[in-house]
Amino acid sequence: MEQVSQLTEFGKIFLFLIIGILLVSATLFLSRSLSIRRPTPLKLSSYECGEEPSGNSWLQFNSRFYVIALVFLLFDVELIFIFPWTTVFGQKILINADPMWGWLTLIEMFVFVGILLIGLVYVWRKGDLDWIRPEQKLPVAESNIPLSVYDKINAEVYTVKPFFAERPQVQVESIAPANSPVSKPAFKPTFRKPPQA
Amino acid sequence: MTIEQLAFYVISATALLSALLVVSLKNFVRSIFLFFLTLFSMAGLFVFALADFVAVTQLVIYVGGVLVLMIFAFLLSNRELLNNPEASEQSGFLHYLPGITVSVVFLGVLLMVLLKLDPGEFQWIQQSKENTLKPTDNTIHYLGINIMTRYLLPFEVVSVLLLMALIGAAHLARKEKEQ
Repeated sequence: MEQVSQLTEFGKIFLFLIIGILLVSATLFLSRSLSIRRPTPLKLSSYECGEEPSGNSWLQFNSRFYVIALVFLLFDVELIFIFPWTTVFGQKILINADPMWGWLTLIEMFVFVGILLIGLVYVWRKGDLDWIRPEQKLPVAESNIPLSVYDKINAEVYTVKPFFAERPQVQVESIAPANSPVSKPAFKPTFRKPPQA
Repeated sequence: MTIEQLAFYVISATALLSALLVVSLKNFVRSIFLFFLTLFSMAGLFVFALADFVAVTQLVIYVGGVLVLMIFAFLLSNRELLNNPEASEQSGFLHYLPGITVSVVFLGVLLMVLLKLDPGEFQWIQQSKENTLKPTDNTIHYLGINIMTRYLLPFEVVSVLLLMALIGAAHLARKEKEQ
């Protein structure tokens, strides 16, 4: 008995990809379910390169991301409709059967995309796609000194003290040697104890 | 058992298990990430129905779009809102009783229909006996031709619908910001 394949050729490859993803997830799940978990407050705190973490890591994101994701989703759906069209548009057999086929499909797709482009223009014009830019603040110094004062200072001529290679004789107080042994800089690891209940 | 059957059972078991976990997990973020698994395995099940295009659509729209939107909803929301202590207090058998009743009754209805139904008595099933898909069929080609001929008007109406959805969604999302 000859085995008849129940899957399309594309489907087989697609299944390979999906089963690959599922197996990776299954491995991750297995490692999680088999591992021993004994959480302490210290273990659960996030690692901040030795610093003590402060505040919450759960930040509230800008809601503009959401609008952009929505717009993306709509055009994602549009893409799904375009995809079957690309396989039949401009096919030689179909065009030979009816010469208007190519023009019909082309115009219909232009209408389809054109209507959706109105939406893009709307969103663009309403400023939903605008990103928040950092405001540039030029520093302003409030001072009553006119600029001519600075010009005057700049115009002045300063004489440089003469320099000699020989050190001038100055009485230097000798520092008394410290009695305590010299402490070298050293790394002292400290361990934080978990908060007692 | 062929390898295809094995793959089918593995995928359907993953779909069922992950879907059950999605609704039963208390942690919303975990259930959303498990939903990825559910949708991937659903895409695999579509492949077994010879619906390759639907499978790819599932991946592109649900995994690539809807789930990302769901994750964004989490990123945008406040953590204190999600950690609702009142919800976790209500537990026990009585709390789950309505849900269990509804699902058991629904299972009963499905089983009854399955047992009482005779597939031969419907005319449309009889007629469609010869009209089946073969693995060698180029389904996306048929889809394209049908969209461009028989369903041309619905196809264009869909674009208007998408436009409405886009404008409505952008408007709703913007309104909250202005307050």
